[in-house]
Amino acid sequence: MKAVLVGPPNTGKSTVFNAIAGYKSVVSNFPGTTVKFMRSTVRLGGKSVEMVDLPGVYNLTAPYEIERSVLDYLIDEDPDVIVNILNASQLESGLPLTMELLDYHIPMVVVLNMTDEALRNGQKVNSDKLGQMLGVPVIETVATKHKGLPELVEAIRHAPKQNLVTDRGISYTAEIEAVIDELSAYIENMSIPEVLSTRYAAARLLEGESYELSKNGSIGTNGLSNTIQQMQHRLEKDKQLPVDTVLLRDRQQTAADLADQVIDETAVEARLLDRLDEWLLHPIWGYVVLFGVLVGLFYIAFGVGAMMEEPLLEGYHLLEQQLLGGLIPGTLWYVVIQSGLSGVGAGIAIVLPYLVPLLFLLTLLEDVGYLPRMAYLTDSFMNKVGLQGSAIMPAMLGYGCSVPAIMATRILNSTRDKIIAAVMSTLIPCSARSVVIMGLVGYYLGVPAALAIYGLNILVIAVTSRVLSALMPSEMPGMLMEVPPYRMPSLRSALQKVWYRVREFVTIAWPLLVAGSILLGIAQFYGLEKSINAALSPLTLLLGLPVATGITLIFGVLRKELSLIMLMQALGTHQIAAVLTSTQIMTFAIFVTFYLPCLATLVVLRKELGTRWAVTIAAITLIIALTLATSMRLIFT
Amino acid sequence: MIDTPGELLTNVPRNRKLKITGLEGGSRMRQFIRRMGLSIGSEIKLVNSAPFAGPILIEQNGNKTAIGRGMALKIKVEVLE
Ligand SMILES: Nc1nc2c(ncn2[C@@H]2O[C@H](COP(=O)(O)OP(=O)(O)O)[C@@H](O)[C@H]2O)c(=O)[nH]1
Repeated sequence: MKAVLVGPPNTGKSTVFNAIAGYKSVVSNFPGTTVKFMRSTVRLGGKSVEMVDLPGVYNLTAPYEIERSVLDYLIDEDPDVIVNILNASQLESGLPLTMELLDYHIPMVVVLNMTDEALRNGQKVNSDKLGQMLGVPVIETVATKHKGLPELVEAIRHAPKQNLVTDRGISYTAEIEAVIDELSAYIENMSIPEVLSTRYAAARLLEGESYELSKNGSIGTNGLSNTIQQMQHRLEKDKQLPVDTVLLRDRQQTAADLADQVIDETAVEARLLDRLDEWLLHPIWGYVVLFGVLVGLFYIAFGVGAMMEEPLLEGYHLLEQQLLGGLIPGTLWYVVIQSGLSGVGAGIAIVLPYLVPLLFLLTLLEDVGYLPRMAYLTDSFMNKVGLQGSAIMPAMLGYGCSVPAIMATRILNSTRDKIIAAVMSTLIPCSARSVVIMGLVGYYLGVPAALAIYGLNILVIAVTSRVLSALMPSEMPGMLMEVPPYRMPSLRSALQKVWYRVREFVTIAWPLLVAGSILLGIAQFYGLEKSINAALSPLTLLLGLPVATGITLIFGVLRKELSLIMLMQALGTHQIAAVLTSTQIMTFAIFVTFYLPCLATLVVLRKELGTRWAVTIAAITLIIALTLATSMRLIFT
Repeated sequence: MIDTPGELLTNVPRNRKLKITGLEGGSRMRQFIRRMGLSIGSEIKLVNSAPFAGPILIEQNGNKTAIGRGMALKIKVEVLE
């Protein structure tokens, strides 16, 4: 049995999903898009249920990428139950979507979540009455406290047995219903997807939308278009408004009337949190706070990460000594185990100091509701590079580690924005690359030279993003983003969310890091270093670097900071300035800053955007690195 | 419908009850704001306006929505009270 969660964003959809089915969840992609959904097969009271959490939509009438994905799922995947989540404190805005969903031939359960928040806002929703009026079960929940979830599970289990009466649910006002009936009669024999009711199809045709109707080929409106146009004209003349507006307003009016009947107003609990925006969105204080948050973010990315990294590595070295103790150095096994361990270490060095704290911060900012405010305050700046304010977060996280930064692109709601933001996050020097920039350029050539690299980097990112956004125009003409009320975050669900993301990384990227590390170890063991250097010599010669540096670039793909450590090893000295000229140091650092994402980043890019884009982005970075590094060499010699 | 009466959403005082009276940009613009349940006739409030020609923040039924400046410039409203 398949149960699918549908509802607006910020209603607690993923909290409900994680609480019921999160522990076995896997992320899936809608074919041909980067729109993700969560899927998990669990046993609910002895019944095997596949739960699916679709991305949040406010309604289905404007088929942009996310909406199209939801429509695709509902029509192609044949779910047994729709679990429609509503925010009890925003009933009136949520019900129009419920009305649209009721017109599907799919049993439905309505979840009235955030009943605690509604009570605080002075609204007690009579769920029994709402259930009677909608003709489907309505379950009250407080997802963060797991309240009402057992009842919800019961309702989901029994939902498929529900009698599907065709005329269940709420309807448009009489006048509009009459037009819909009229059109329904015309299209009765038309072939539309099975799960759609005729009246749903009629309403859609009137609205001038047909995305989901024509999914199974042509709906053959040819003979009909005249009839439809006549009806549209009639309505438009009558209401003095475009038909899509007439229908939307009618649904909203019906929803408002319904909400009126089921909401009992109670005392409102004034919350200080509701006045926070006066400060946090203030033209001056808002930016002061934003600056503080960004500084905090940087501090956590650099300070805390680095602070954790050292004792971690020390502990790891102790462990390494223990494990390697029984083996004879210089044997193949020794090399395999040593390099395998170093792969394990590379994973630890990403997961603990960077992935966990940065993802936790991201989740916290999202759950508290500050993330959309950050986007709001930075929108006009991000517009300059063709993106929306929401892309600020992936960009900032990029200075810590590209892996959580790319994971954070999931908060963006179009494939195009995700791709551009991912390119940006990949190009931004992560802390590992900062180690190289500071350890090499900062140390040997001075801090101004190092800062110049950061400046160059920002310039390159701005140009690249502009070019990409010109090549891939946005489907959405600008920002349109809900700014939810501030909420006290729930530690439990925040940790849960972080863990599910970390798990994605640990299960895919980590094994690859270990494998890659072992392969390189074996290559070194058999003395393939020379051949690798020889193979890479066209590149190193082009860059004007010693041939021996070739292998360091390969290690850099495994882990960026390894390129610095391996550089010293390859050159046989810690006095790099004695063997490399200033230009060579700059060239090397610039190349390492921009070239190929590291293995872990590549894996996450592939997971988020698909193989094609992961490869394309890698190619883009390589081209940029080559161009910059060779021009660096040419200009300064 | 271009020359609809009303003032630009970006020019009205904050925290007053407004009604959307007109939209420029045809069906594409209607579809865009319909995504958030907004349309001609919606009663809204302007609650904030970001500096540096940033987005504006409106409230409808107690829900806040940020709208990019470029789009906000296409929305005409009437001040109700
Ligand atoms: N007060 C309250 N907060 C909730 C409830 N359910 C979820 N939340 C919080 O609402 C925010 C959004 O929840 P989330 O599950 O991410 O929403 P989604 O966007 O619909 O998936 C998070 O901060 C949750 O902790 C609830 O029943 N009551």
